[in-house]
This record gives sequence, C-alpha cells and structure tokens, in this order.
Amino acid sequence: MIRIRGLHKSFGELHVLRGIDLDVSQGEVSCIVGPSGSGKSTLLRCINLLIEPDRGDIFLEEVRITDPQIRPEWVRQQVGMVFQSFNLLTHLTALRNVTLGLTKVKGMEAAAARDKAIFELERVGLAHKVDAYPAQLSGGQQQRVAIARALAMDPKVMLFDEPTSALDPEYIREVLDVMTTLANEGMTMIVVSHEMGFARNVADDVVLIDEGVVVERGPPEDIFDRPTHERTRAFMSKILR
Amino acid sequence: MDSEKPPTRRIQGGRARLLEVTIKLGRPALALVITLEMALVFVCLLGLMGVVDLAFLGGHWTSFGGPAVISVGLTTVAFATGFALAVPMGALRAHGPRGFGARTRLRGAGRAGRGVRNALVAGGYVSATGYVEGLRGTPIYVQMWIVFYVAIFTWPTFDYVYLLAGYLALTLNTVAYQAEVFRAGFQSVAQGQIDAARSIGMRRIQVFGHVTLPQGLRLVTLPLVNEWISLFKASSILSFITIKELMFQANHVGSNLGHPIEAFLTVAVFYLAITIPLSRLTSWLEARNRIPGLGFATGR
Amino acid sequence: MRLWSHASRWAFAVMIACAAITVATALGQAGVYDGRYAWGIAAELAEGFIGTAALVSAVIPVGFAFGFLVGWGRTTRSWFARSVATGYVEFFRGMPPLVLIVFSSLSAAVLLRRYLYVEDPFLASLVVGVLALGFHSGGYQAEIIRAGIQSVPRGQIEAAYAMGLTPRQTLLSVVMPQAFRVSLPALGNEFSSAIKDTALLSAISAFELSQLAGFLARDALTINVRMVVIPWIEAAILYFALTFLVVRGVKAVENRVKVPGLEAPSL
Repeated sequence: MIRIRGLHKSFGELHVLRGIDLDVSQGEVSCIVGPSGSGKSTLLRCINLLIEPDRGDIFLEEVRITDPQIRPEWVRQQVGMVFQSFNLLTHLTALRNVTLGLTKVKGMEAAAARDKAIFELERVGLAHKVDAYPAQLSGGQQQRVAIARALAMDPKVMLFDEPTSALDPEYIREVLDVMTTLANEGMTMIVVSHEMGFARNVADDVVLIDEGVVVERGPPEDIFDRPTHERTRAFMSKILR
Repeated sequence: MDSEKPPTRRIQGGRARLLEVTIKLGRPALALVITLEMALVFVCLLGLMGVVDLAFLGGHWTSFGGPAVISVGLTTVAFATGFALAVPMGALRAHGPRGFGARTRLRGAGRAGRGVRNALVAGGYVSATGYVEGLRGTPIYVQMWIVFYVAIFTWPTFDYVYLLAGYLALTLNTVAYQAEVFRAGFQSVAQGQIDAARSIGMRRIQVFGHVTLPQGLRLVTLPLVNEWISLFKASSILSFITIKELMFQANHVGSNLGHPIEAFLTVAVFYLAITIPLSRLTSWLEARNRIPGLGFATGR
Repeated sequence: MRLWSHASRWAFAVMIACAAITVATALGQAGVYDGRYAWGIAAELAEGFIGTAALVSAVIPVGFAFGFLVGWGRTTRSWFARSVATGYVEFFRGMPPLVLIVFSSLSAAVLLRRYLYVEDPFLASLVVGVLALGFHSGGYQAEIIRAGIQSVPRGQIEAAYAMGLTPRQTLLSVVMPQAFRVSLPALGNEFSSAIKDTALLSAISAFELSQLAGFLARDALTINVRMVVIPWIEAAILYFALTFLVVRGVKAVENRVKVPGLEAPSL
C-alpha cells in the first residue's frame, strides 16, 4: 500500500530524514517508535505531503505521490491524519468539524454529509456529542472526534502522530480502544506512539527510527523481546521497565 | 478512484508550506530602505512632472525644524505630566470601587473611619472612571476647544495662554489614556506574586509598592510608547490654536505660501521620521518580551 | 469584579447623563448661563450628529475594506505583497489624521484645478479627505486583522490541509471565521477612534458635529461670551453617545457569533 524509498528531508542545517525505506501493506498496522527528534513526525507529515521531502519517493498504491505534478489535496483525501494536539476547529461543533471535509473537499450534499458524519461519530462512540463545541469536550473526546473527522474521508491509510501523548491518563484508554477497533476492522495504520502496550498487542510491525534512518523493524515480539541492533536495545531499555 | 489518473497540481513551483497564512516578516530594515528609496523616486518623478516644485521644497524644508522641536517638546512635557497623574489614577481604577476590608489596618480605621475611607475610595473610583471614560469617549479636538475657551476666560491677560491651553488639553487627554494603560498593567501583575507577598505578611500598601507597582511599570512600557506616539500625532490639532508646531507650519507653507503638495511631503517626512522608528522600537520590544494582552490600540 | 464592570458601564452612562442634566439645570436656574439657549442649539447640533453619522458610515467601511486586504496581505507568502502592505500600515498609522485629511484634500483640490480645470472642487476634495481618514483607520484595522489571522493555531491549519482543503478553502473556512471573532473587540475600539477622528473633518468644512459646534460657538461669542463652551460640551456628549452606541453594537455582534472556547485574548 505504502512504499517509501530513500526519503531525505532537511530543515536548514538539520538533516532530519536521512534515507528512510519503509513498506506498509494493506491492512497492516505499523507502529513507529524512536527517540524524540528522530524524525518520526516529519516522516508522517511527508506521507500526506504536509512536508515536501527533499529527495526520495513515496508510493501510495503504486502512484508516485512525490511527483510534483500530483496535487497534494488529492493525496490528502486518501490519507487520513490524527494529530497529537487534536487540532479540532474551535469555532465549529463536532458535527461540523466532521462534515467540513465532506462538503468542501468531497463535495457531498449537506444532508448526505451529515448522515455520514453522524455515522462516523457513532463509530467512535460520540453520537451524543454531535452538537458540542471542542471547548466543551474532554481531551479524549476531542481526539475521538478528530479520528472520526479523518475516517469520514474514507481514507486508504490512517496516520496517527502520537495521538495519546497530549491526553490526561484517564482518557488514553478510550482513544486506544477506538484505534484497536479500527485495526481489527482492517484499516491500514501507521502509528507514531509511545504506548508500548498498544504496539505489542495491536501492531503487526514495529519500526525503530533513530537519527533519521530505520534501524530495525519486525513483529512486536522480535523488537521488544529480541532486539538485534545495539541502538534498538538501548532505546528499549530506556522505555521498557 | 484507482482507475482515475490523479489530477495534476494546478500551481507548480514553490514548495507547499504549512504556514502560508502565518508569516515571517523578515528583513524589516530592507523593506524600510526600499520604501524610502521608492518614496524618493516618487517625489523626484513628481518633480519632473511638474507636480511638485522641487526648488521650493529644497528652500523651505528647513523651516520645519523648529516646529518639529516644539511638537516633540510639547508632547513630551504633556506626556510626563500625564504620567505623574495617571499612575495614581490607574492604581485607583485597578483597585476597584470596593473599599478595604474589615481586617485592613489603616490609620483612623475605627468603624467610622473605615466607613469614611471606603466612601472616599468608592467616590474616587467613580470619579476616576467617569473622567477616564469621558475623556476617552470624546474627540480630543472637542476637548481642546473647551479647554481653550475656559483658559482664555480664566487667564485673559496671560501672554502664553494659548500655549498653556494646548498643554492642558494634551495633558488632560493623555492622563485618561495612560490611566487605562496603568490600570491594565497593574491588574496584569500575576496574582501569584500578590498572594506570595501577602502570605509573608505584607500590608496591602506594601504589596502595591513592592510588587504591583514595579512589575506593573515594566509591563506598561510598550503601551506607553504607543501612547506617546498617539499623543504626538494628536498634537497636530494645536495648529488650530495657533501654536507653531509642525501642522501649523505645514498649513502656513501649504495655504499661505500656496504649496500644499510640497508642504504635505515635507511634513510627512518629519512625522514619519519620528513615528516609524518609535513603532519599530515597540515591535522589537514586543517580540523580545512577548507580554500577551497588553498591547491595545491607543487611538484618540 | 466582572459583573460590576458590565453593570457599571450602563450605570455610568446613566449617572453621567443624570448628573450632567442636574448640574446643567441648576446652573441654568442660577443664571450662570442661558438654559433656553442650550436647549435651542441642541436641535441644530442634532443635524450635525446626523452628518457625523453619515461620515462615520463612510469612513469605517473604507477602513475595514482596506484593513482586511492589507491585514491579509501582511500574512501572505509574497514578499512584494507584504512590503506594500507594511508600507501602507506604516504610512497611514504614522501620520496624524489631521495632516492626512487637510493635505490630501488640499492637494486634490490643487491637482483638480490645475489638471482637470475644475473650478470649485469642493465635493471632490471632501471625498478625498474622507477617504484619507478611511485609509488612516484602515491602517489600524489592518494590524488588528493581521493579529487575528495570526492567532489562529497553526495546528488547525495543518489539520485542514491534512483533510485535503486547499489553501483558499482553509483561509475561508478555518482562518477567517476565527480571526474575525478574535478581532471584534479591538475593532470596536478602533471604530470608536474613527468616530472621534471624524471631528477633524471639520477642518475641510465637512458638514458634521464639530463644524456646527464651531459655528455656534463663534456666534455665542458675540451674544454672550460665557456661553461659548456650551456647544462644545453638547457636541462632546453627542460624540460620547455615538461611540457608546457603536461599541455596544460591536459587543452585540460579538455575543451573537460567540463560540464557547474562542474567547479573544483579554486586554
């Protein structure tokens, strides 16, 4: 589904991505871990072209999306993204947050968009909060609305950029539950997260990125329990107790 | 969707930026220099076209120097007087209409004494608020005429009564605006600081003197500079009561000597040469200190 | 404290009005001034009030239009647009409004006479003067709108892009609604400034409140010297009423479009 070859990105002097190669198959849940500053967020943002890579290619279902001829808006319709800081539009209700993309980007009729939005909000368990404004929702609820918003676009791939890092502990569970259900339903997901429990239980593939390159990847048991690379071992020892 | 060819990008070139709508205003100095050069070219073009009389301009622009000094001087003196009067007024407004609580130990603080004091505070607050709202809600042009007529009737034989009237008008007006600045400044001092000071046993007046005032004054520097600039621009109305400041000189050159365009260009340079560097200064200060919420517009 | 300051605004308006009326009547009874005169000219001043209101309704929209364009221009990627916008803001905020009004008006008159052979360019130069004031207000409004635009969290813009919205759609659906709401209080403040600045239009003989007050005052000088201040005081009251109303109006708009969670940064 997603193939990344030789991705490079620098910000001024800082060479963040130094040749990333990655494959994610359809229906696979890929969990990206690594020290902060290793380029995980940058990588995610390259996949939906929020950031333009300097070098390298990204293929979405055999379409080379790094081709400058391709409109980024088209790519972003296929790729859904959930942010660490939710980024809900504060001046719109939960329902309108979800319908915005449907009406403006997909050009749906208002009624159809509303139905779809309610469906997605039910899917994340927030049918009773459709008319609430983001300020009236808890962190966990806001993030679930953000997930519904991304799902409503019927993306082929869902990207999660540390979706629970900004949440109070009591809300992490509800968001992870939604993500787990999504994974079980067969959504292709790339998740950057520090939630090792989620990675171990739900991920098909764990990828360690350090200093802009993929250090090691494999099934969770391999990476967590039998890391082969030195840096993987170092990282794991720091985060697993 | 898979069988469709993905639509091509309409806008080629330029890297897609996340933060299109937010900016990075770099190189302000370069922009300023370029603007000045363009203005100079513009003026020369106008001169060549015969719209502007360059010879006249060259001969007369120095006559604006003295009036410029008067404008700046008068503004500054009025500003300083206003400053002295506005600090207590701002403090009173920041304190609020309620008097001091029963536990407050003030001199003469028996029951009756406290009642009187609280009444004074309330009355003072009301007067100050009335003054501030009144002066800020009316045009300084109108205020000037009222002060002017009152002044010439009160001191009809005083030689410099016009100057005094102008000075008073500016002062009375700036007191109101500065009092608001100080009120906001004093109220912005973090409550935690005040709590800490009170919890070590400081009395209210000490808290004000040692915590609120020093911190408040640091917070108000930026709005005060803006207020000076505002007052300086307002001083142009003093031309109506024949005070020989910049606008008066411009009027003289423009109407009496018949060269309004040249007069405009010259006086514009003088005004901008003073206001633009000062407002750049405030932007720089703002960027350095980044105190949110204390940069309200001070218009007249 | 908040409850007090909301009620106090109304309380003061009413209190000041009552106090003023009481004092005025008392002084009038005491013979300090001619009470009938004061009420007589009030009717004339009312006409001036209408003139001022008309001018205000020209100045503020011009200011808003240019303020919007320039304020947005200050945030675009184009270096050229940003420089032009910055130049506009620096010039029109750096100049005293009186200077702008008088000299743009005079210059327009001179140019019209010289090049278009217009005999008496009064109306045109009046329009130019009003436009100048509009541009002046626009400079301030541009800064307010720019600050509003920049206050929209970048994350929301990111999210909008991530959904596939084009930059233009993002500007219209995400940035502007929020920028507008945030800017309203500061814009209300600027509107009241613009109202007060219209007093300066009397310098180019525009038919408005200060012009009339000036005439009446000069007439009063010949009748009874003591009364010259009265027209100006009444004019001040009328200006105060107008700014009060406009600011109330803006607050009403604020309340209508208010969204929980999107409070403007408190001043």
